[in-house]
Amino acid sequence: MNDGQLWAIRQDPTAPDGWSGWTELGTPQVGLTGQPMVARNKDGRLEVFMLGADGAVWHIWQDPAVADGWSPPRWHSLQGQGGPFSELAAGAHADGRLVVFAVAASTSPQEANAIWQRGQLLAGGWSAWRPFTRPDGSPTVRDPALALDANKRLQLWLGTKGSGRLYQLKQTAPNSAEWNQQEWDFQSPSSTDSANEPEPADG
Amino acid sequence: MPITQGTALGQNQDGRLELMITVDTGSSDPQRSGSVWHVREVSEDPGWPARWRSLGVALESGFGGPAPAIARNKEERLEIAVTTADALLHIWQTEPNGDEWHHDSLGRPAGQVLTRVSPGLAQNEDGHLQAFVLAHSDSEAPL
Repeated sequence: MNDGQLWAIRQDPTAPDGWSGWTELGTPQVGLTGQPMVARNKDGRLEVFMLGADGAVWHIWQDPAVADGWSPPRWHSLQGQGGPFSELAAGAHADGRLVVFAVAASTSPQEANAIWQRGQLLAGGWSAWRPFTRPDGSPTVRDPALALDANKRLQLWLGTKGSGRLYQLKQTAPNSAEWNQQEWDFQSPSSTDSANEPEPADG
Repeated sequence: MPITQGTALGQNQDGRLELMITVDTGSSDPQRSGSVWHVREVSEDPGWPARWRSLGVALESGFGGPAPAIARNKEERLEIAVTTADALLHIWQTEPNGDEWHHDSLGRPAGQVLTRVSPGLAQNEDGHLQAFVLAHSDSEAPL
């Protein structure tokens, strides 16, 4: 599906329903797949990260100096070793540096399912792709999700293929390169939880 | 035990993280086959509750694929975006740190079909949310 384009819609208090119309943000020539992961730069500009059909991470960022508001010529690739990737997550350290985590695809010539990270440098620009700690005992991870917690530490949560187990990786301190790991197996909602509750698939 | 389909992580106004997943519950009731479940950090050990809770928002039949996206809006309420077959849905807390959620459709770009992947959602510097979807032209749409 190479004709897919990224589209955006924005809250607009002057619009009747509170949202602007849809704006097209295009695609790199290779095409886009997967989830747009959005993070905010220290200076306030949003940056969108997506996987291309080539398995590379592509990004586009707001640029107030340009008429349409986005980086010319739109999409740029964060190339390097580690890929092709199958999933990614993006966020910002407490100090404002953006960071991207990507899971290597099964077709990766290096280690399939390995996790890689690449981040903005304090001096500007981006680091190279670097291997990231892989959860102990985790055969296949999926669905990375990233956010800062109340203590300004990044938390990276990872799902596992074929099970409900989740891995929580947490920075030991704000901006730290050291992470702690914990595993969680949350249970299905109880049937009395809510009138709209779906039935648990199995106890 | 539900099979996790997609995860998203957000932070409430009070600092507590909120983890959300989309699940295919396998229910024979088509109105209930897909849902968004969430857990929120608690102050007591071990820091998270034992069970998922449902957001109480019914998604369409067969839903269970793309993860939601989470951001906090200008009023400090969590807001979630979910891609369904024909529209982008947004679901929001009715008050900061609250557990009542309302939802509405944001539709889709004219003449486009949404790709069944997760959306993106973030707050601009001016406080306004912006949502992102992948879509391709609808070849069956009338010219």
